[in-house]
Amino acid sequence: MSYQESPAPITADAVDALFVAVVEVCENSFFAFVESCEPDRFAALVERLVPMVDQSAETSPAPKRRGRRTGRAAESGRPDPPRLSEWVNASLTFTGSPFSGTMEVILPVRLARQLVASLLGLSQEVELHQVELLEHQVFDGIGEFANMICGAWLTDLSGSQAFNLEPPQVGRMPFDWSPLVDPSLEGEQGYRLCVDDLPWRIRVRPSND
Amino acid sequence: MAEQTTAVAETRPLNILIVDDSATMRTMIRRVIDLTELPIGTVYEAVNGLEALHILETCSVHAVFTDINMPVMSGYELLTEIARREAWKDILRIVISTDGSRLRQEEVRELNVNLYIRKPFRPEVVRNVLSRIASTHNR
Repeated sequence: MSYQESPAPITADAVDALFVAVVEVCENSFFAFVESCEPDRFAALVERLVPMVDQSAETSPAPKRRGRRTGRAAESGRPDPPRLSEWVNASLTFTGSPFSGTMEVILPVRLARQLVASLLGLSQEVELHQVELLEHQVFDGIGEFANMICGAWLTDLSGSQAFNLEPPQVGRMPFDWSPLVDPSLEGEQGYRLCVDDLPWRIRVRPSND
Repeated sequence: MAEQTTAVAETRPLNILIVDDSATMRTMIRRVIDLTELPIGTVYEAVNGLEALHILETCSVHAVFTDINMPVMSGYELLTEIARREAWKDILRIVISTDGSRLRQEEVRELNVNLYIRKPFRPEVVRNVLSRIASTHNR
């Protein structure tokens, strides 16, 4: 086998290994049981998401408004904080062995909060609204979530060779974005997933960097 | 009196420095530390290697938990600097990183890293590491 200067495409085995990394991270650090979703079930969970979280939000105390915002939310001029049914994404680029590319996780704010609360051991407090996670905390935690998945995946694939991960970029998806109407998701290598019946997606794309 | 001296020596508090650019990870590690019943002294936090160096220069630190991949100054650069300074030779060095590749682990092993924890990890892994380093610290 000869050494390749240009990045290799992401193989089917590598995509299988991505799911293993997702499970490892969800179970070991985020204490979450993750399932792969068939398209029909995924669509049903996405459609169920908006009424479910809107109902939940009605029982929540009004979150405190914060000052300066950055990123997509500030650009769009949307009120702060995001609705729980909105989606956030965390993407990071990686280079080195065995290939280079981008990994992206896309998940509803409600699930992002749930995962970060779990990582911090604050699930009960957040559920009971004794602790409110601020947007920057959720973004930081979800960036780390993506970072861990990508690191675990590349560690598994790269063996003794090194790889480099860029810091994750986290932001809100456009207000009316839905994974059901985004054509860019079709044909991507990745998975439709859910945690506690909350849907999310992960995808990877090779690059020539 | 001799017994009292011994008792104090056995519970010499461990000052810890957590270095990670993710506030979430620093909080998570700090929570694990807080939940142990070990004699922990002060827990410092730094967002990168450079900030960690400032803390090391001004405070007494016995153990450093550091990420590798950080902006401004990486964990690798920080560990290189720690290894270079005679005054810091006794500081215990623990890496916590998403990069578990053998090459990376071998690189930092040459910098006298005591332990390498790969993310993701369960909280009990950090707890067990703390128990080990607390016992080393009080030896």
